[in-house]
Amino acid sequence: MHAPTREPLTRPVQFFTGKGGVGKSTILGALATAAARAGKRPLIVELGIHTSSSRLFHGPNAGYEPAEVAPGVCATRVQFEPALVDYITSRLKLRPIANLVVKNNSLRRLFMAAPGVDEIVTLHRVAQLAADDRWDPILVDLESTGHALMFFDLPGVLEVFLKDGPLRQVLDSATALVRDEQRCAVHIVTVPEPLAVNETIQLYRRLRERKDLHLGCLFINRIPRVWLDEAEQQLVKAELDLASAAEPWAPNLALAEYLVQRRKTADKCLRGLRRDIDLPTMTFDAHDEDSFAIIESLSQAIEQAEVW
Amino acid sequence: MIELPRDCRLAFCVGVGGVGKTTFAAALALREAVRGRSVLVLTADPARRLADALGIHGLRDVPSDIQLPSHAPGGELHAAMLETKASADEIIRRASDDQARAQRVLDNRIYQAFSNTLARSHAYAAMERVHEAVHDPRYDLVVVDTPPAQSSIEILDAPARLVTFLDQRVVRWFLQASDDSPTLRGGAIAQRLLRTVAGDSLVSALTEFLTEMAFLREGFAERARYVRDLMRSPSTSFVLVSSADSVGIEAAKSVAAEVVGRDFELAHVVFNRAFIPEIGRADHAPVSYPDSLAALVPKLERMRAALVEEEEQKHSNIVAFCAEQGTGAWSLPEATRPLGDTSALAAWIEQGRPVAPPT
Repeated sequence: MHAPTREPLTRPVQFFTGKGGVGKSTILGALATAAARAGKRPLIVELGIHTSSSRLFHGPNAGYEPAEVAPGVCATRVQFEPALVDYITSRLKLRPIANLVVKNNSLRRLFMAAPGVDEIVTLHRVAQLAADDRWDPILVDLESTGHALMFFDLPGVLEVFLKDGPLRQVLDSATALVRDEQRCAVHIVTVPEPLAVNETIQLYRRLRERKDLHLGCLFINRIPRVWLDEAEQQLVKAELDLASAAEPWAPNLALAEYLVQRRKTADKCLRGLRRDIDLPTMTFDAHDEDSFAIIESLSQAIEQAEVW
Repeated sequence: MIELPRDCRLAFCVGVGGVGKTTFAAALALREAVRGRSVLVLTADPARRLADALGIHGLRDVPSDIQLPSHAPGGELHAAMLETKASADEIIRRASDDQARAQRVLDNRIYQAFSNTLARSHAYAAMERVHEAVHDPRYDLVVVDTPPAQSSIEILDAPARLVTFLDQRVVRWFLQASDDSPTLRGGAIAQRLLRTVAGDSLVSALTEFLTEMAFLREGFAERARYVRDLMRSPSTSFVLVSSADSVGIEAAKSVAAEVVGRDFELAHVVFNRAFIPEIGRADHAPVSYPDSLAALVPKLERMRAALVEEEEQKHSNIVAFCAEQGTGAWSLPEATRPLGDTSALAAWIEQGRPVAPPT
């Protein structure tokens, strides 16, 4: 990678988004591992009920309080209730009263059911973590593309009726964070598969329309291996066309052809991504091992890129 | 063969994103239609995957009729995509006797801000659509393709949440807490706290919204209660769709726990892209290749071995999952050609293989 391309990765707050199943959490885990080895203090922030970091690092589930999940790597999960208590505490200044508010049956039902409360207290928590200089960088795992768009669109949606007041302050500080090119970058993760590529290009366009967001890098994960050169591919194809299905070696040729097609599809996807997405790009080869070994080899690839 | 119980009237496909959940929901609905049932498949996912899988141009909120690949007496397939805003507006209009009143709700700024965004509003609208569809005499079965992970759970929790929120006491407490009557002093104090926490403008807007909505409340609460109970009834099935690699298996465990923890009936666990049909046909014994391929033999063998290893790893992941969860599972092949029409879709689901049936 060239000097300008790795710059967004040095910003203190980084959001990662992309279609589900592309290995977003794995890339994020690898970046955190590489950052820790470079002497940084990375914090992985997970939203929602699933904790990928525990699966990736074979460790305990990330809780609300940041805890170390791998050497030098901390993780936290923004859970609704403690985040709500944190937000209320920030307004009322007294945690016992905040706890009382959350325990009040009627208020609790109101908070649990009202659209937007979850997103606001999440924004508040992320801004709170970003303001804490114990962590650098903060890597936020936004679940899926729809979720990410909701997350970034929320301030605009709520502005309509939040003209002032405490929630407005939360929105303003979150908006200020997201708009600050020095502090924040939004990265996109994808794989070179047709469905993922279409969704990624749509996501990129929608994010780019938002002039206040600062897009960082495109990570392309799981690039399939090249098994055969051009001449070998031709040979396989020619023999396969001639062979009768009864030949004992025909199925093996079909498998080889399948792997060749897998790579060709990926190449086509890569061309599409390069044509339509104008972002510094990092690519990672496909790996078959378990998540721990994948993190290890991806983080080595990142270290070689000398980001920090 | 992956099938739903004959008495199943509602099925939810759940799982994390990127595993082919939408394609599977389409295939399952098609399979049931071919068995002679009239099926509606409803996607809550804004991406256009359901239309792509069914080989049609686009999907709208209004169901489209899908042509079945073969003649099936009594079988029908319909597909629709849930658009939150359109659905929500329609629900409000239909539930209102008085259109002026309905218009006041539609014009409410809180309603407008939320009906178009946010996972939670989307989940409420989906719940209403499910309620409508299961009462529609045209359908014997409704298959719901839920959005990925987090939002999928959001959809499962929406009915129960809405029931609690729309509880008459809560709403009355909230609206009347604005009065200073002594019996409601507890509510008044709580509302003052709420104003401190959320700000006057929001609480006022919310009060206005709940007042406008008051006449709709009982209907919403009733439908929410109905769907909440229906989700736990024996005629409702949940199907978990997952990938079979190590990361996918872990995700499947956590989604399964979410489903079972809510007392929902997990009818099937389906692992997609778990095998490649050609591997089964490949001879595992050493093969003698023709001379023209001699130079390539070591590479061909390594390629086959890599795919076999990948498949065996997935298979043992699935077997371990079944043992740990005490469940059976199905594996589905990787579609080596794109599934762009109903014939391909029907052929694909027919290749499902049972793995470790439940004991």
